[in-house]
Amino acid sequence: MSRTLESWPYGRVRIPTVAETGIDLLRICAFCPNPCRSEIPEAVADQRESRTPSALAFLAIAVNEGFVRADAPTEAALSDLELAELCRPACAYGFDVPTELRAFVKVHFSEGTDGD
Amino acid sequence: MPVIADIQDASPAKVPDWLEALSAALGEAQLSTAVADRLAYARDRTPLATFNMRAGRSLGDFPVAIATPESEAQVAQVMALANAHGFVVIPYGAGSGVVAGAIPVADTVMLDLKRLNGLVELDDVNGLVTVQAGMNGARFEELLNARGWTSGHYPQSLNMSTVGGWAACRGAGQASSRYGKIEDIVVGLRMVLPDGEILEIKPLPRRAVGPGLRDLFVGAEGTLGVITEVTLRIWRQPEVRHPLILAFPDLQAAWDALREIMQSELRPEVARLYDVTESRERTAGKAPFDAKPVLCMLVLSGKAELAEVELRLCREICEAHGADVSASLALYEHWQNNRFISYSPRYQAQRYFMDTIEITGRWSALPQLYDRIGSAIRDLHPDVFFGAHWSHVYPEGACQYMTIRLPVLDDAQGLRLHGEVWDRAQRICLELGGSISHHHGVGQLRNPWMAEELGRGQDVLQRIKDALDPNNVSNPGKLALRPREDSDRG
Repeated sequence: MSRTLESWPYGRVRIPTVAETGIDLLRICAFCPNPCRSEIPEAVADQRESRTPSALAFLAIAVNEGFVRADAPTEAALSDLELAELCRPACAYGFDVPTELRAFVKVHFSEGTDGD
Repeated sequence: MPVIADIQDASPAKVPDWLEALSAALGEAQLSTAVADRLAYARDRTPLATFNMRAGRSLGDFPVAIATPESEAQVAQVMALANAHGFVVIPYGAGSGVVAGAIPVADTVMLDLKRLNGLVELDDVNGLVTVQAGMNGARFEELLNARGWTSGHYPQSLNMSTVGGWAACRGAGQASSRYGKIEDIVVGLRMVLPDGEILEIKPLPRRAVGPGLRDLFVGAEGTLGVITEVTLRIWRQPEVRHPLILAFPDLQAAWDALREIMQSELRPEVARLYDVTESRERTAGKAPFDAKPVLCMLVLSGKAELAEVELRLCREICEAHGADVSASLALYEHWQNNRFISYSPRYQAQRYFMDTIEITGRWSALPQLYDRIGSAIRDLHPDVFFGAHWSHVYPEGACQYMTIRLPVLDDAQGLRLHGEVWDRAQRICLELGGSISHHHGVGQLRNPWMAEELGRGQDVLQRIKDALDPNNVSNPGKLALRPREDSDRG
């Protein structure tokens, strides 16, 4: 199966289908350069990169791939969604990244995989 | 190469003594050693970093800590401590660089400047704006627009970059043919030098007081200190924008038309020319592109009467070179709506090896630059995508911006071919008298070709670096400057 990317400049290139939900959605966000970040007001005091949607999505991928252990600090980091919520309306793909991250945390942490 | 799986296993014995001094200087809340932070700051948007990250590796070391200063004075404190204790400081804006300019090395503190994000002054009389380095690009432009001004600097990364990052990396925006590149727009700056001292370059139209120091730091990529504040030339927002969508019979005709436009002192805000591959993906071969397959987009803007004259003159020049004018503006509207979006994430997510390479060439060299580089890259793999466009034009030449996408391959083969893509493109560029980078910069990715690019100039650059940063603490190893060595740790 293949699908056509809707946006040019590569509009008719056939690439393998991905569901663009769950971990597939997060994987796209992880490798997206956060064009949504312009939604973050200057007044937000904590602007660390790790709080941006793309960094959170990559952390989730790292947990999913087994690169990072699903421990308590990682769960806390993935649950800090202030910037992701601010950025949500400006996602270039129309993704709801905070909701996907919450779902990821629920599956990988709250149900007790490796949390300490 | 460091692997992500090791990042959670750093033993307390490895925590350096200087962290305490840094924490005391900044306050605990402005210094992090959390795993999530160290992972996030281990990458920028360099495709090679992405390829490694998705395979569980890091292109560079993981940083020891992340500092988030809220004042220039704190930046100066960090630099002073770096000299005293021998750690490395790498300035970090929004991390949108694509040539590994912000990739950490051993003993690195990443200096996130996004808390320095305020407007300092908007000078409506003199057409100047002073802004702190960490302000987001799109928010900066919105702020100017609300007051009737524009910076004229619209890189594709507008939403995901900072004003200081534009200057540090010597960037260029999509309206550069009218407003200039960032070095034409920055008229003054403040920075913290590697020794912690403050340098101010006054924002004036021009000075004849020796070589221009501004140009030493605009494009230094953090190797000569940290830009904390920038003063930019700003412009009244244009009264009108007139797009002109053109179909040329071939690339040479289009290059000739653009050259004539620029050499006739016309100033299109936007001048974008696409090769047949990239044109076809936009036009789908519809009229007039079925007969004339090369797409070129011009935008003439400014005062209404002037823009209309420029529109007419540009149109006449293009028609004289065989172009047809498209009646539809749909291509322009689509570009306007998508001009600040990156197209690579879906491909990178699916493990393609996608990258872009931008170079500068004179008009006379462009045909060979395009043909030879394209041919050399297509020879690498039967399924490689190669497309090019020219979107920054000058009287003397243009930027050739190439998109290369290797298919999904096993990791080792993909990395090898990706390295070959870069080597072939950069070597042919140098052979034909071009520059290896137009506006993405050097970082560490382009180190292998810098000696040939600058010749004796590389040694001059190293001597300047050694004089300003004798302890090699400020983003070492970028711009092909001397990497960090054990002796630098003091």
